Amino acid sequence: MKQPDLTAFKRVLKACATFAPLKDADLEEIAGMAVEKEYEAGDTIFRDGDKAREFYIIQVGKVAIQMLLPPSVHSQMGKRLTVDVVNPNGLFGWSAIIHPFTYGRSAICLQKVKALAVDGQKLNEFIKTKPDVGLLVLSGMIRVVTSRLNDTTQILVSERMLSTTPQK
Amino acid sequence: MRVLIASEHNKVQHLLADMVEKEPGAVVVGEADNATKALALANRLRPDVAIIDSSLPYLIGMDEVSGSRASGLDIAQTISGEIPKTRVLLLTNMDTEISPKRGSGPNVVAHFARTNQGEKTFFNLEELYIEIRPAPEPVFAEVLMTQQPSVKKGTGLYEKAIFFGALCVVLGWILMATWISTVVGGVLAVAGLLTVFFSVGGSLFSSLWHRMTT
Repeated sequence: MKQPDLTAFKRVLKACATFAPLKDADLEEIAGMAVEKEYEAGDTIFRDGDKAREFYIIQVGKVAIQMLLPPSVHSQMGKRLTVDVVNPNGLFGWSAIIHPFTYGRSAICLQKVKALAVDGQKLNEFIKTKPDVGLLVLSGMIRVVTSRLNDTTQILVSERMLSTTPQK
Repeated sequence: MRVLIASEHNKVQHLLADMVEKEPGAVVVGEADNATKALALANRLRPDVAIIDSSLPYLIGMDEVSGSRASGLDIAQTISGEIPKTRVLLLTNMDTEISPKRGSGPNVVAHFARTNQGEKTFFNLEELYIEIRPAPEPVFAEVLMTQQPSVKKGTGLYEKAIFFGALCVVLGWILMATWISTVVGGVLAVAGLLTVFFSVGGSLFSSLWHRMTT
């Protein structure tokens, strides 16, 4: 079996904004919890409701994060809605380190994807022994969530403005 | 075959329309620049094939908001599910294919391509439409540009023959002029002249034939 290239994994972690502030020794520790995975365009990495064991950092490709819509809005918008598209160096699947460890969205590959899959349970155990690392990782994840929330708000505002603007 | 095209970018719409028109029997029946319009057109026109750019806004695309062009996948899944007769093609690389250095030049040809068991294969819309569908799901594909071999450029057989023919003419003339060997020089010069003559003729005929058949 091919041995994981920890130096390359460390580089991937360093390129991701969430892990960039961590010290080299901590990055090396986290790199040891990761495996590299590859997917084809159209593959589903996980579905909403699946047990969340890993979170992912994209090296190559794009992943759409989709939510399942309630039946009341199916007829207008379809069953699924993409809430974000994650690009290289982006992170998704953070439910793997947050209770109740269940994915709340689905992740579908828009292109051929190469990603680092990090074991969430192992990271949580590591964080318990090193609270300073936990603080940095969690604040990085909050930045990701905040940025997604800001994007969603801007889309919502602009589309509402369009729908309320009188048509000439 | 009736085809619907959905992309926010005019350049992509034109590229896709060109590709559709090159296919025998295929015609573009509608074009949409956002997902809302694409769904409305698909419901009204019921096309045989819908080609959707994955980087499609729901209503409007905003450069500073990463998720504002994320509706291509949603609309492709919706059309596949609601109009099973329509074969949906979701193009996943149009944001890179429309860059100025790609997809331009007189000999560049665009193809639809998809990945099967790790290998990229080209296909046309007719093949896509008639193939057996395992499930009402969109087909993830790309547009790939290939460079067709140029007739005029390069050092092909004709160019080499003209060069060596001309060399023979010069050598033959030198041999004759210096009286070293008039017979050998004469034969060499005539053979060189004939080579140049037939090579130029062949090259012209080949280029004319290429123009007539493309």
